[in-house]
Amino acid sequence: MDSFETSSQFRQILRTLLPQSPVVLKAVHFALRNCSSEDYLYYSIIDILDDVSVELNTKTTIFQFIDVLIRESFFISQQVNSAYNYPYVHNLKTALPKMMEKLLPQTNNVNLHCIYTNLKNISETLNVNYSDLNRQYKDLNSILSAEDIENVALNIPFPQVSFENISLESKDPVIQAWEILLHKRKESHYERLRLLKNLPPRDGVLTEDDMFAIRNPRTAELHKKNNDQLFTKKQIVARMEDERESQKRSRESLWVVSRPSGSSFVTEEEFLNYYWKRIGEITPDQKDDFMAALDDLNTLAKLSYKDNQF
Amino acid sequence: MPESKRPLSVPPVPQPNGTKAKDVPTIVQVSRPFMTHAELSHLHTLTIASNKKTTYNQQKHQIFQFLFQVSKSIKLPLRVLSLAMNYYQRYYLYYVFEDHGNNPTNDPLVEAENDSFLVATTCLFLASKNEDCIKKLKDVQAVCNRIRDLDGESRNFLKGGVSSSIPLADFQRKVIMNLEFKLLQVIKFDFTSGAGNVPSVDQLVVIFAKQLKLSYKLTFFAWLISFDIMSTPLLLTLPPHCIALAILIVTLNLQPTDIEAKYADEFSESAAIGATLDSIDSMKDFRCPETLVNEGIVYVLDYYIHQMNFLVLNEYMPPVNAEIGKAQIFKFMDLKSKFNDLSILSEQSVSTNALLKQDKYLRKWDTGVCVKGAARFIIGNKRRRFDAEYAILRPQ
Repeated sequence: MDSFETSSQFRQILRTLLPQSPVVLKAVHFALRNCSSEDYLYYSIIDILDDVSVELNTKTTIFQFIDVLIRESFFISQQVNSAYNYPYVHNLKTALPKMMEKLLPQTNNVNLHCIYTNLKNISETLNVNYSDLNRQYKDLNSILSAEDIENVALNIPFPQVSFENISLESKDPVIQAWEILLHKRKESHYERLRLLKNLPPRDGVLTEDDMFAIRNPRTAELHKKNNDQLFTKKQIVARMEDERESQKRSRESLWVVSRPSGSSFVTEEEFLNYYWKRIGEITPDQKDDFMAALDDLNTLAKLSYKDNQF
Repeated sequence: MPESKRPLSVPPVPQPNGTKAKDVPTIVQVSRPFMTHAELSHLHTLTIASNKKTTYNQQKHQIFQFLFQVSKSIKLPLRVLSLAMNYYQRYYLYYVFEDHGNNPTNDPLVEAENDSFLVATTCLFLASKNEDCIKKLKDVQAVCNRIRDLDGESRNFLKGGVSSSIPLADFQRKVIMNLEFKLLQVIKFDFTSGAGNVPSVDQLVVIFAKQLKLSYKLTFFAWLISFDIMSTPLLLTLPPHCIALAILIVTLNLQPTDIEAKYADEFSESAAIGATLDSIDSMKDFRCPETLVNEGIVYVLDYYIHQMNFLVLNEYMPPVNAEIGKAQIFKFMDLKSKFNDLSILSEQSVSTNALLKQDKYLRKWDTGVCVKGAARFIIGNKRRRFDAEYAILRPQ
């Protein structure tokens, strides 16, 4: 397969990318296998993110793919006798601020949380200190200035600034990406406060169609021209499904029990790691709830036996 | 106990004018998570033919091994395994084991419901959902079939000739869905599994042990017992906290010093062995009614006296106890003799066969009754809400 063929196949993979982790991982492995064509494949990623016809949902998934790609690239390059030399890492890292622009379109903040999660992972992999930025992202009380709050009260829309004009303080592309994200976070919070303050709440019954009618049909055409990516009902539902799926997967880490192979019965390792080390004494503030639950159980047991047992 | 609070089933009542009463279910089923041994064995005589008792018990052992292997492969925690084994035993309280006569049309789908491995798969699947460790049925099936060495080829599983060839997994899925509905009926749709917000036995043992400040070795010993006990019908008889406390009392009495624990040295054992037996106030500290704890103690000791050689605890103990110079089992027997006069569960209401037969709750479950909304399933402590309905059905 020559580089051209590889890249067209890769584009096809990216266009149909789904957020299920096996699918993403397969795409990542394809990219790593063909990292000799990195120059082609890297531009395929950038082109797809630039492409207006690609849905925003897919672009979000592609960012998830980038997250995994960087992590896997590190992983295979750090193996002993590895033939890999951190493929894609440098290119993707440099392009992060530009990607933000595509992933977080103007006037639309649906992606904020997904991008935040992935950017956190990327910063972790690249060993960038982002704790301060993370704190700023989380701290909603200090994100708006006094002037902003005044403007919210006056119902003034958040000033639209194109990304080139956001003053970036850092030279590091990862930190720059964080700064753009923080800017969008601020906008999102500002607009929400403005909405709560200035728009009267709607009473009465709201049909499902009304609820999803965020794309006003009259202005839809106009929006299209402005390349403004608002979701349709179908896209919103698809996104909900995807997120439910990834939520379920992330929950697995809460309960998975790894047992040493070979033994056909329970092992001391399981006891040590999942019971002895994890379970502590009941603290005084847990005690009331715990005792109440046991009392409930006793009532249940009492009713379950026919004879009066206790 | 007042009559109105006792969980029981109400037989269909003839409806004279049929208009108003039509809307209420004709059968009320209250979930009874715990039953006495007499009730359990009475139900077994109805569902397990006397010539199949040995087969049932041998197969149960095999099935529980199988469930453990599957749980290991899917990395499910023990609480799911425990609940699955509980469900499996409950299923055969109300449905006939190897019921080949009840399939006049020879439908392969009905016949396959006799496959106890599929029953076990269903139990594990429902337990994993109930314990919030959700796995797709497809994944569970794949692991089960791999462990059973079944290939997934398409064959004529269904009635109707060559054209109805479907993959094994699809066929199994249909059976499992049917079995799940049957299972839900006998657990009376009770998703608290009789435990509400209380953790499972294996966790409770460790929680209580930490509270009593037990050493690593003693806690490990108790935890191993909890694993052995998990597969017994004791979980259908006693609530988990009473079992956990019973196990700890047995542990403290035995004071095992010779358990083989690789990691015990990492934890500095304090000189004191922890709480002494006298200081345990079962009701005040652990909310465990004494009768139920006693029942648990006696059961645990009996179980080890009869089964010690087949249990996991045996793997972690030297065959001969150095202290008494005899096999480990004698320590259990010694202790049992000290506990001979404990007051245990009363079985007054079920002491004779006639009394057992009177109780309509203790019958084979007929899946026909719950079609078309004819049955209402409720949890024992929630039944007050339906008292009005109950009054209509049973005019005084």
